[in-house]
Amino acid sequence: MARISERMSAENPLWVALDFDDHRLLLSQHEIRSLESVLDVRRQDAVPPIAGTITVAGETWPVYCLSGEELVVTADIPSHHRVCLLLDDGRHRLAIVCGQIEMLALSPRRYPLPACLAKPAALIEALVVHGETVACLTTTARLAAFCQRDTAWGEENG
Amino acid sequence: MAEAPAWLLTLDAELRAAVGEREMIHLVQAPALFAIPDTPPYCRHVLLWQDEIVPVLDLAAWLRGDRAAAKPPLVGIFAYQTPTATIAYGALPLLAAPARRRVSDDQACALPEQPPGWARVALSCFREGDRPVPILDLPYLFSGALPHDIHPLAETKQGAIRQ
Repeated sequence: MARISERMSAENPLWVALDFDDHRLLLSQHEIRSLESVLDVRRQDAVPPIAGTITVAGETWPVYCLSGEELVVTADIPSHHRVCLLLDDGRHRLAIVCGQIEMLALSPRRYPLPACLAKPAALIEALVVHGETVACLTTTARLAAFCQRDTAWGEENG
Repeated sequence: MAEAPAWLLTLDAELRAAVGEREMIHLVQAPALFAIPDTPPYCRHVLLWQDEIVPVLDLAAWLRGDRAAAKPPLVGIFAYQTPTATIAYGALPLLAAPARRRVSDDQACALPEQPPGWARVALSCFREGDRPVPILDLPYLFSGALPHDIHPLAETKQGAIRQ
C-alpha cells in the first residue's frame, strides 16, 4: 500500500484526522508510515490491550483500537473501524484502527491544552481551531503512552 | 459597612456560588461544546468564544464527584488574572441566569460543610437569606490544581485545606 508521506508535498504540511466513534484526533502526516486495511490485522494475536498484530514488509506491528465516548483502548475492533494506520515517530511504532481518515490543512496557530483539562502524559498535545470546530492534536508518542497506560497500571497494581 | 457587587451563580438545583461583578463577562445559551478526550471527568469540554478556546469546568460535577454535563443549557464565561498577570478565561455551566447582588461584610459566614470540596475552591462565603454562598477562587479553579482522581467527598476536612 502507498506510503502517505510520499504523496504529499513537504511545503504544504498536512494533518491526518483519525475519526473514532465520538472523537477526531489529528496527527502529523510525517508520523504515518502507511495505511492498511483492518482485514489484514491478525486478531488471533490479540492480547489486551492489543487488538491484534499486522505485518507489513516483514515487520510486525501491535494494533490498538480506541473506541467510545471515553476513547477507551479495547481489544474488540468495531465493525465500522476499517482503517489501520501504521505510526512511527522514530522511537515508537504502533498501529491504530479507526473509522476513517481525512487529510486537513490547518491553521498554524496551536492552543495549549487549558491547564484544568490537562493530565500527566495526556493524550492531547494541543488544540487547533478548524472552521467552526476545535480539533485535538496528538502524537505517536502520546498515543503509545495512552494505549499502554492501562497495562502499566495493571502491572503496578494487579 | 463595606459593600461589593457580586453575581450569584446557580450551579445546579442545590449548589450556589458567587463571583465578583467584574469576573463574569459573558453568558452563552445552549453553547456548542467540543469534547476533549483523556481529560478530567468534571472538565471534558471546551468552547470557542471570540477566537479563544475556553475550558468548561463543571464545578457542581467536581463537588459531587460526577461527570461533567455534556449539554449544559447555559454557561457563564469568566475572566481572571493568572500568576503571570495575564488575563485568562474559563467557563462554568449554569442552571439559570446569574442574579446581581450587593454583598456586605456583615453577611460573612462559614463555608458549607457539604460538599467538602468547597474548602478548596472558595475564597470566603456570605449568607444570602438562610443559605451560605461560597465566593469562588477563579484563578485556582482553572489552574489545573484541582485533584483529578480524588473524590472531593472522600477527603477529610483537614485534607481539603489547600497546601
